Formats: sequence, structure tokens, C-alpha cells
Amino acid sequence: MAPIRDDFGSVRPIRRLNRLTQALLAIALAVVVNFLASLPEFRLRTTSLQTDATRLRPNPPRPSEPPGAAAQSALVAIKAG
Amino acid sequence: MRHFRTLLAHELRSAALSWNTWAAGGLFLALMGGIHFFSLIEASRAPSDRTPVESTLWFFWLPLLCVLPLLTMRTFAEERRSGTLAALLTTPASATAVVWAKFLSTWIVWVVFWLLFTLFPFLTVQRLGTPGDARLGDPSILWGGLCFIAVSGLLHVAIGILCSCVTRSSALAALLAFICLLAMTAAGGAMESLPIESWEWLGWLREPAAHLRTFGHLQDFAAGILDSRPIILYGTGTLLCLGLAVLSVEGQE
Repeated sequence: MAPIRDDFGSVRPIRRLNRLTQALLAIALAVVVNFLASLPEFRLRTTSLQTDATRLRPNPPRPSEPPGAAAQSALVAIKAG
Repeated sequence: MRHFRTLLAHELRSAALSWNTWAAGGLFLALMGGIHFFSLIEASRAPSDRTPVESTLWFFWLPLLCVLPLLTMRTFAEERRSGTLAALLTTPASATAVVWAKFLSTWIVWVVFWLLFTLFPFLTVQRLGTPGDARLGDPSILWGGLCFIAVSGLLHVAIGILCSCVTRSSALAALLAFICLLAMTAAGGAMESLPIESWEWLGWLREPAAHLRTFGHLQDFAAGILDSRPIILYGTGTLLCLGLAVLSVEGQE
């Protein structure tokens, strides 16, 4: 009995190669994306940390004043000026 | 999309009726209950930097390696062995829908297991906690840790599904998943333990090693830091594993 003829026999290896190519491309893409994500240049801010630290520095401590003292001193300054 | 919903409902129903899921759930709760119990005992003995919940979550790798392969091993290997996968692929449902339905149902079961674990801290706080003191069952650490489990679980389940796609034997699929998950969990630590400082040609490994640090990701999530890097890692890893699984299933048609 003659073997069954495979009409797509010549195409099948190419299809298999395509699948392998797809898999390799997907792996390469995932590796590249994760490598780029792991690089420090992508996570450092463009502004300098010194500037940010200066901007976010808390106000200097004030001597304790009784309530309304600031308003009174402002009123005195207005009357004098 | 209609096929996907039907397949997902079928997979969830099968998972709920399968003794395999219930056995895995019992093993998971026994394991995590035991770990939490010993964490509480350890916390009562001496002051510690970590809360009992944090100490328990630190052992997340134990159920990951012991229980998750039990959930994923049968997804495709069993269907291939019994021949039902070929029948399923003759239906209008695509291989992609089949893979995603199995993946999503397993991930849902995995997350439900972890949600059941929250009963232990809850009961501990109810029984042993003092009002106003949240250290015993710190909710921020608990939910942050569970967010990490849910996000990293996407990749871990996808790895298990891929391992199940490449073999007919369920036992071999579980073993493959165990090895891959162990490698995935330990990769960052192993790379960091290399003498990077003394070997200059290994200098480029410093950042990838930090990128793969699974325990660092857990620490960040538990502290409430949602960094985009681990999300990219787990997202791209999930898509890669599921894409390879689809190719593998299509190749078996």
C-alpha cells in the first residue's frame, strides 16, 4: 500500500519555523522590555534631588507665640507705616 | 469573547467540583495556618522587627512551590492524556480562548485560597488583639502582601500553565512547574549573591538582579510602595508564558 500523500508536507516546516520565530521574538521582546525597565536611567528623576530636597524642606521652627500675636504685630506695623 | 466566557464558567465549575482543588485548598490552609501559628508564637517570645502577618507572608514561597503546581498540573496535561484537548480544539473556540480561560480560572482559585488565609489574622485579632493596637493583624501589610500575591500570581500561574502544556504527564508538569517557580523565586537572590563587585565583567548584572528580587517586591508591596518595575516584570512574563502556551497548544492540533 502506497503511503498517504502529504499535500502540505513542504509547507509544514516553514510553519513550524514561523512558530519558533514567534516564540523567539516574544522572548527577546520580554527580555528587552525588562532590561530597559531595570536600568536606573529610567527611574531617576530629571530634576536634581538637591532641588527637590530644598523645595520640600520644612519651614524653620518658630518661637511659640500666643494666639493672635501675629495679627497684633501686623496691625501695629500698618499703624506705624 | 462568548467562547471565552463559556469556557471560563466551565473551568470554574470544574475547579469547584474537583477533589483536586479541595485537597489543594486544605493543604494550603493547613500550611499557612501552621506558619501563622508559629509566627505568633515567635512574636510572643521576643521583640521582632516584623509583625506576625509579615513573618507569615515572608513564607509565601512555601505554598507557591507546594500548592500551586497541584492546581496547574492538570490543566492541559490531563486533557492531552485523556484526548479531550483535541476534541476541544475542534470546536469554534480558539486555542487562545482555551488557554486564557484555564489561566484565569486557576488564578481566581489561587487568589481565593489567599483570601481564605485572611481568616487567620482576622480570628487572631478577634481573640487575642487589644483595641487600638493593629500590630497583631496589621491590615496594611496584609492587603499589601495580598496585592503582591495577586500580581505575582499572574506570572506564577502562567508558568504552571506553560509547564502543563508541554507534557502529557501531570506529575512531570508539576515537577517542571516546581523547578521553574523555584528558579523564578530564587533568581534575584542568586544573582545578587554572585561576586559582582570583584568581577567587573558581571557589573551589568547588578540592575537585572535587583529587578528580579521577588522578596524585595513583597517588601515593597507590604510597605505600600507600588513600583511599576515589578508590575512590568509580572505583566510581560505573564503575556510571554501564555503566548508560548498558545503556540504550544496550536502546535498540538
